Amino acid sequence: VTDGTNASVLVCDDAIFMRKVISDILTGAGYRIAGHASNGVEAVEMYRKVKPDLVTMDIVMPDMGGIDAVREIVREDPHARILMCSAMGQQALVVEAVEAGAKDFIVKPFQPNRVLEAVQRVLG
Amino acid sequence: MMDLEGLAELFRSESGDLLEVLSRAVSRLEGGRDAVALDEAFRAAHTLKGMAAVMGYSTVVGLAHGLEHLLESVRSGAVVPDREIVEALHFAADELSHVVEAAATPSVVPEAGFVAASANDSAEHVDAGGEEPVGARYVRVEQGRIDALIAAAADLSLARDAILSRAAELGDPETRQLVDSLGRAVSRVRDDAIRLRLAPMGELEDRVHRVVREAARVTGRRVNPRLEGGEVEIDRALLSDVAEVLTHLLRNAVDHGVEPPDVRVAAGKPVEGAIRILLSQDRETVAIRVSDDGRGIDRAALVARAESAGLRAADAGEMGDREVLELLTRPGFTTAEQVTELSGRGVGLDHVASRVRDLGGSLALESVAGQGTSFLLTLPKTLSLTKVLVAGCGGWSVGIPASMLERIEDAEGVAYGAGTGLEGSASEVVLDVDEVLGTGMSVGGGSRFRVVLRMGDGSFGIHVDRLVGMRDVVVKRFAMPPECPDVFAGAAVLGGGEICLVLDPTRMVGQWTPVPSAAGTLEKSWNP
Repeated sequence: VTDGTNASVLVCDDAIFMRKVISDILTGAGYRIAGHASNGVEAVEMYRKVKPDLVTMDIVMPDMGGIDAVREIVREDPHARILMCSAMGQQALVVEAVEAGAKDFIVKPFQPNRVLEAVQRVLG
Repeated sequence: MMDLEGLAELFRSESGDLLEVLSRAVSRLEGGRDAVALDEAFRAAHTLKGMAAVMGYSTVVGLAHGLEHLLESVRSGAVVPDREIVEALHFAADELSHVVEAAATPSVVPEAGFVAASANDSAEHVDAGGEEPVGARYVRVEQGRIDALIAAAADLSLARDAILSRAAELGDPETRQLVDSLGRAVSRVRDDAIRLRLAPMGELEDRVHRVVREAARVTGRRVNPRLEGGEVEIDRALLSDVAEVLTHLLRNAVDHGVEPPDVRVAAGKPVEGAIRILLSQDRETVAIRVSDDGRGIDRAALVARAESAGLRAADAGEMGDREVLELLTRPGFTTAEQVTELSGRGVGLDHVASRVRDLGGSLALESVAGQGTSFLLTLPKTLSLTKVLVAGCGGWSVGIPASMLERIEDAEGVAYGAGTGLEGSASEVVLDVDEVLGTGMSVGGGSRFRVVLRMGDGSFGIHVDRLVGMRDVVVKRFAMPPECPDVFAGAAVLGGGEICLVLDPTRMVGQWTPVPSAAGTLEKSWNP
């Protein structure tokens, strides 16, 4: 288990359930949750406000989807580190997200060690 | 370590929300392609799929994935959302809620996936706790905390009542003024606390459609349900009880009310039966009217059935709606000629009636042969506090539910409310608590005031000899000795620590044969 990084993470997902799952995995490994967002618009706003070291971004969200949020965030901060969270069967969207500026992706259901590996890769 | 129980609970509550969004969105597709509704339905199915995957509920994942796929095809234009497709979507959404319910039942152990894996996780991880998004408009609060707040507010109300009567005795105008404003503030706190638990009854709409759809499918009826007044609010704690009662009444309306399509056509009615759920409210109560435009209740058949069951029944011709309801809600009585798959399983109208009574409400019926049947349910808005008129009877204080109160009359005429006399199918009693309880200390009931209550299609009068005033009380149920008529909803503690017996007038009508001659005139001895 990696810890002591204390890197801050903004968790974006429209399901409270998913936000809790991801937050629990990350806090368990010593990361700090800087905030939550439940749609793309909130994600962009929260990013400006908390300037996190890392963002986990769901793809399918109301108001503004994850991919548009990635575009917006990367436009304002080209160094933003964003990890996409996708479900099975969303390969095309994942490719689109990476083109938009996301650094990596994980696929639901999340295995804690896979999530942490991906987070370290993106932060590394 | 992952908080498995908390996660499962979160899954249950959030999946419920998502299923409602899904069902509502699919309903909106009935009117043709609706891009917003499609997006919403798609997102709900998709989110649910992801959550279920984490929980390891593979059946839910599979079905949600299939539904998502179908919705995607509609969205891309590959599939046209005609009647059949919308029905298939409804069916899939219904199925999905069944499998979610089955999967999320606490006894079920996750099959595989993240949760199962994390159960073996090392214990050194720290639980993140329930941190919630910054800037959200809603806060999730544990029910228990709200209940504690409401209980505290109720105690405060009782203390206020005590101080108010104390201040009235003192007669110091300044103190009274202060206590008055304190009293108003306490009322506000109490009302706001109670409002925290109110939920719009429109949340039941999906369930209504689902129940009617399923019932129509099983019985071969064609029915169009409509719910009006979804903004009416009720205690969230009552919502599941309301849903249960409503489910039964709706199945009943489809099964026994609405005729088969060919019978309807032959009778010159639209082929599709209409079931209307009309919700309305006033300050203290919520009224739910469930009406169908079906065949109505066949009184002759009802009487024949009662007689064959060895029950005493009035003449069919003389049977008012109240008598019909009384017969229908007797334990075990049913009018179904054969036990259908639908209404045959589960519970009867007797269960509905007793359930409604337990909730502090009342049930009434209106039925016209050939034109349809309506059930009218009246429930208190909140369970926590009941507004009662406290009256004195002999040495006793009794509480009469204010929700049913029509007016109070004294010997000179109407002292509160409007109108005169008793209307509709009316009866009245002179209340003698000692006689009811069998204390052997009865001195006969007093008749200085007549409290007239609204009950179903008529009115009911209770004679009392003293009026104390309106109070908000917490009613606690208690067991009556078996030899006493059970006419009390429970007991409540008044401000001064005095006990007040709270009446359930609906039971008085059922259990008590009133003596008409004893009532009617009020004693002239009352001096204001």
